[in-house]
Amino acid sequence: MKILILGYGNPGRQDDGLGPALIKALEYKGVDAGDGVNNVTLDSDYQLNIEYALDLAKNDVVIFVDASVTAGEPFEFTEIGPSEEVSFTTHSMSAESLLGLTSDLMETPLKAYQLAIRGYSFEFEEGLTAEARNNLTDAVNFIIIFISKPTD
Amino acid sequence: MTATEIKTVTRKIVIEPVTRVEGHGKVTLLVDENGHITRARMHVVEFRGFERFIQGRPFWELPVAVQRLCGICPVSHHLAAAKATDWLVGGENLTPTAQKMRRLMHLGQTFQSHALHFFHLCSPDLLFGFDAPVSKRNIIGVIREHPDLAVQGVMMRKYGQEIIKATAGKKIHGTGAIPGGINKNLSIEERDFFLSDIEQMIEWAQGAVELIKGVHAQMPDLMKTFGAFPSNHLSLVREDGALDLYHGNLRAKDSLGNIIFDQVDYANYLDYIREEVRSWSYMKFPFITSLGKENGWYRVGPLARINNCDFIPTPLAEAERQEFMKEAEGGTVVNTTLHYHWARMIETLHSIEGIRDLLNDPDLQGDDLIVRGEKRKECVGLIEAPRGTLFHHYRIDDNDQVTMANLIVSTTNNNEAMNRAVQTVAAQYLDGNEITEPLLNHIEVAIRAYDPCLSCATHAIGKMPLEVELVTEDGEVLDSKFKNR
Repeated sequence: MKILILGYGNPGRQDDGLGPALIKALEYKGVDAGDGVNNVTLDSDYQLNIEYALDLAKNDVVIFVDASVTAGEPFEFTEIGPSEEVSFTTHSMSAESLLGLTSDLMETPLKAYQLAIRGYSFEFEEGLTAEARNNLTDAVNFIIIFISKPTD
Repeated sequence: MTATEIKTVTRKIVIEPVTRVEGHGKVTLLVDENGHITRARMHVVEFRGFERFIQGRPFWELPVAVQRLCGICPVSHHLAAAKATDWLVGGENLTPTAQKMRRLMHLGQTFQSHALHFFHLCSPDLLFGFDAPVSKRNIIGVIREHPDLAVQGVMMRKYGQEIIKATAGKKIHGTGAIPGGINKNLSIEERDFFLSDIEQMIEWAQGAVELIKGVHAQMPDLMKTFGAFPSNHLSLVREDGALDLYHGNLRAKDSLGNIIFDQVDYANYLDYIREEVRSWSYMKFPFITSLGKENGWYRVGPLARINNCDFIPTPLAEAERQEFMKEAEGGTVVNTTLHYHWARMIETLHSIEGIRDLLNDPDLQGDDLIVRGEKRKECVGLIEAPRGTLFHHYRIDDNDQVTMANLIVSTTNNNEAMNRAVQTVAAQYLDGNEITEPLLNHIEVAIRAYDPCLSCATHAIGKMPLEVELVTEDGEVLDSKFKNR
């Protein structure tokens, strides 16, 4: 299976950078080296936008990774589906809306999950809070196990 | 009858956020007891605290650090800070490779930003009409009825994003531009990758210009009256008067096309521009000093840039500019809000023409990347960001640490213009009517024309509160609703 793990957020806003931090951790551990059960691609950005429809369409499974101010600790992992809700603002969009766009535009079947890692502080500052770092560690361990197994 | 009984009842209807704008915009319509609008205001939460936050940091961090300001337009801040810090290291006269790499990055950004805005945010309004139901007037509606356009928008956005990645080094906190130069050139492989799709991109950009021209031809009265009001216009222009999005001098014109000032070195912007603080808004209101607060406000962005320049130095876009300027009263300046879209598409075409020219320039493969010279303690960097003129101004101490930072972002420069747009449209469409969703969308259409960036760059799940308030002029809250709180 081809899996895309897409972490997003602003590392300059403390825990908002949890998504990109998870991607960095997975890169460090070499999970995209191509020697596992699944073919894993890692990517990160400030936010989701329309062009990711092209990347999503190249994969069988996508895992969206974002910070959350409401998720249970240390993280929540849920399967999500496409939405027709126009929830994106001027310059970014939700994972569900991006799935909807991909589905309508590319007509590609896709299984999708959202990994919402609990964050606590979102001020102008580099670096995660100590609590968020702990949650990140748990999330990384979970994802490594998840992608080491067949996903269908 | 007591004084209390004869007091005029005035209500404030607040809509927050403006859909498809970052979620921190808020429109306040002040209506009297007869439903007539007495005032209209757009509130924006600005980047408060950031300028203080970067004080004390070493200046060489600025081109990367300022990208945390905004996840929407980090490249604009990256380049404006790099242009400013060039002066601190005496490296303002960049090598040809450095300047052209930065220009390529900037044109890639402008191309993707304008394409996203037009195809996926404004086209639903333009293709289906402002009064179309919300269920249809969105990108899903465009996909179903105009799938080719939706695909073009995605591909154009992707193309520009890939150029940013190739020139800035990475998508998050790019490091391509550094004080006095750049840290990488463009490889032959990267160049050939982009050249393989360039003609298709130019064709699609031309198609987008034709599309918006068709909309104007179909609805000339609406396009010329919706949100139309006279204003001054501010932008950079090249020394020969050409459109230049990366570098130039400041030019300001009034609503009739008369020059207010021209070829002003932007390092001296404080002699020409001031900022007013108003009690009801966090965002400042810049104005041209010589004209005063009341008359000195101005528009920036695509409309101002096309109005201000004497010509566009790429042939296809220049031909379109000449046709565009026929829309101007007296052939001088266009003062209509919806013409922003047309101007934006002309700039999209210019950007991709410029990208083609740069890709064919062997200087991009040069190895001379950095310049150093006499160090300085104060610097100003300006750039024409997709949304308009962006100012970065810094001072440093003997330890190379930032002691002062002043940023005027594009959306702040358009602050008064957006308020005028809201007021004008509200007066045109809402006065005396029931406030329905289609009518509200007319206000949103006016705001969206300016492509405001209201992002605080934090978008975590559940982090975007929605507040709707109904309060009297005395401040009494008659109703209040929250979402995502």
